[in-house]
Amino acid sequence: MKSATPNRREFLCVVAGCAAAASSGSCGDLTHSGFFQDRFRELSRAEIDQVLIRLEREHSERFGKECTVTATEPREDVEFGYALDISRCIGCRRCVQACVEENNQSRSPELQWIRVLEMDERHGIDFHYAEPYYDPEQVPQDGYFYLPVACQHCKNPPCVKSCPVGATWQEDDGIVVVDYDWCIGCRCCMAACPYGARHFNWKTPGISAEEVNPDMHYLGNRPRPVGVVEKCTFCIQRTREGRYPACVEICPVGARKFGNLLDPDSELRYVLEQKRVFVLKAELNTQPRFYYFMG
Amino acid sequence: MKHSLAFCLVFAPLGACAHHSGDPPVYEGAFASHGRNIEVVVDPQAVLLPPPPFTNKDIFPCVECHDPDFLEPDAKRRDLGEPHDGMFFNHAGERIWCLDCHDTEDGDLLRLSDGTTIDLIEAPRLCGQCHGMHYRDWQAGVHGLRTGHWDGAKEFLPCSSCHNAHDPLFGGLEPLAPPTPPEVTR
Repeated sequence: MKSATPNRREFLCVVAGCAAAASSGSCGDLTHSGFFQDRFRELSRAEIDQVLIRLEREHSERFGKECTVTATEPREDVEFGYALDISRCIGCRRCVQACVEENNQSRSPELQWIRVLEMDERHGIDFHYAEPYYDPEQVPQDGYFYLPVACQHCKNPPCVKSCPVGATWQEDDGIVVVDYDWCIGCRCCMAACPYGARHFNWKTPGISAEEVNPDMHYLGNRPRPVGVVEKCTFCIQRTREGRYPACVEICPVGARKFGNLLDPDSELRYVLEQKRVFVLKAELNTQPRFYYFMG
Repeated sequence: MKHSLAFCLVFAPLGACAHHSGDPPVYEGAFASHGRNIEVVVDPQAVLLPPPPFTNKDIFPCVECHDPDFLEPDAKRRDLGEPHDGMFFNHAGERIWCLDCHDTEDGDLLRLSDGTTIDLIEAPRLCGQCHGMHYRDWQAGVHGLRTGHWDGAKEFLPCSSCHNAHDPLFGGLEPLAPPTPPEVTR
């Protein structure tokens, strides 16, 4: 619902409109329609379709190949959950690479949504002793276990509460998303996230035409502009189409499980009912939908 | 399914031998776990990978040497030492030996504890006789890799895709490059 009184966005539209009209009709990387675009959640379906067409045209021109941008909506009676078997994970980082390739993460400068931590068995899950830069010839190493960490898609997400402009929110299927066209890059959400799951684009993400994944989602893996925050979206462009996330399919030991928490026959429910399950930093009451278990 | 393909490439050496029998079996609605029917479909692409897990073609198929017409089967349990060149056996120590899993007459078939003979590709049924917990988890999609759709058809890999039946402990892998530390980035 838009307020009757002029708001910040409308004021900016007028100011920027005058500036844009005075110039050659562009403002940095933004086109007219991109700059005047309202926040995603307030767009009508027809407006969203127009936005998608514009983004497809822009990305196709930029990468020289046909790109599709969808905005598939959440399904009813679906709440996504994720489970990771830390007794199986060997810390090989195949998931990190698959995530980068699937989600068009910047290669230069390097940006990765998944961080695999090498944990000392003598200290258990104590992040003081977590080592993300381990690089032995072979994993797993004796005396260590491995803890991949990405967005936990909390039911009570502190990042969403901290955003001053409402550019990040929780979808009905539980995925916490970011509207990259509305994010102002203040990084409050990064400070609020206790898992270090959000990442900031200090520079324009570097992705080559050969590397780009042309199957994109507005709230997911479409290439991000400089100065915005991004994070894991449970591969929204895949999972909303019924597919498993890329990290699940690449894991050589099958440690990663994904499914619908509301489906009693799903793998996730089997894990929750049959295995020893825990969440990270449970004392913070963030209520993650990302569960760790011992198979 | 490029990631599945990538997985295939990683494990291609394990599946160097093509399977000797016909079409791969389809496990459909065959399993029940905790009162639930779980539809499991074997992806033909995935099945091409593993069976049998040997990379040494000198020891497969078994019946090339263990032909009952030329070599009388000796079912007496005994220590074989190193039974074949290049075949390392490290599975449950001395508690099991060849004929606990292989059929006496046709070594390319497996034999369940009730005497039923099954094809190598159906090995999960055999493995499940001892590893019941893992078999249950595998049926539910919680043990092992599963690809495809979370809400529909799933593809999965049988035990021997990841485990060498003669030396089943999953080996290590070379990790991919670590992330760049921040001080280097700046």
